[in-house]
Amino acid sequence: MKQPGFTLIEVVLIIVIAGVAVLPLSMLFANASIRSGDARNSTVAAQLAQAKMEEIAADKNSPLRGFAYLIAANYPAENPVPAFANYSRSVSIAPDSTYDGVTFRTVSVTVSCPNIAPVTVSTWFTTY
Amino acid sequence: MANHESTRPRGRADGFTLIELVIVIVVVSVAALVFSKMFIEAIRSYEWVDVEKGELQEARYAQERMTREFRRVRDNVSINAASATTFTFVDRDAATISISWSGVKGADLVYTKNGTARVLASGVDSLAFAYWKTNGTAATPVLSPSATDIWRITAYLRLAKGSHTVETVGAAYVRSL
Repeated sequence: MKQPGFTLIEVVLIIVIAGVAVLPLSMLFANASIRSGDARNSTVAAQLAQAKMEEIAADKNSPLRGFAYLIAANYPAENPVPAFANYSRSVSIAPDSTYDGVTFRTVSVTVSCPNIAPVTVSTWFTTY
Repeated sequence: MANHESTRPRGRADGFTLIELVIVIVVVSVAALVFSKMFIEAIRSYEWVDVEKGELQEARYAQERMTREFRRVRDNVSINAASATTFTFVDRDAATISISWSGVKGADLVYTKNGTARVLASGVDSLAFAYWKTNGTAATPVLSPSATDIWRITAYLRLAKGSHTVETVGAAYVRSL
């Protein structure tokens, strides 16, 4: 006579389903700690972009350099950025535009780092 | 008389056998072990993230503060000392400000205003101020108050606590110089 209870197939199924359910839960925690590095990378990337922009602003206002110095050739890409192994930084300078008799130049600094979206900082410099 | 009622002795109820009980205990304890491992891992990961977050915040604050202070230099004869780990100057309100690190790994980054010291960040692993001239080359470090050729200042700060390391960078083009 057949006894009431679970068959082997049923038991195996339960174990498999329980295992599949637990796996994503444990992955969730692992992911959280890996992702925590993103905040740091984004912060550093933004700082590197701002620091470069400050350098360009200093050059623009420098009595020895000035507006004419802001050309792509003077700001080569840095890959990696000195002392920041995983970060690369590049400067792009758009052609001049004129508005109301004032010439201005759009300068963008982009910093890239693995795992995060590139950070770009842009500003306008005028001939004033 | 009573011997055809049941094959089982009277009073003995249906129940689990010892074997079944042992199996249940083993299965439950294995499951508990797996779950507790997961929980311990989760707590550990939370602690790690927490320390990391705190350190990043501390480094960011110190970096931001240093950059803001650099911009407050009164004029180009107000820098009293400028080396890789010390920057002393007179600000726009005529207060004497100093930002320095002793150079000893793990020591504090100290901000001093008119002789009153405050800690900007603790556990400093490395600090490097660099000074640049109007032509982009390195400026002369200032040892005593005199006219300076410093045009731009950069600061590199690294904090280290246990296995956590955070590096930050900041730059200031000082309009008053």
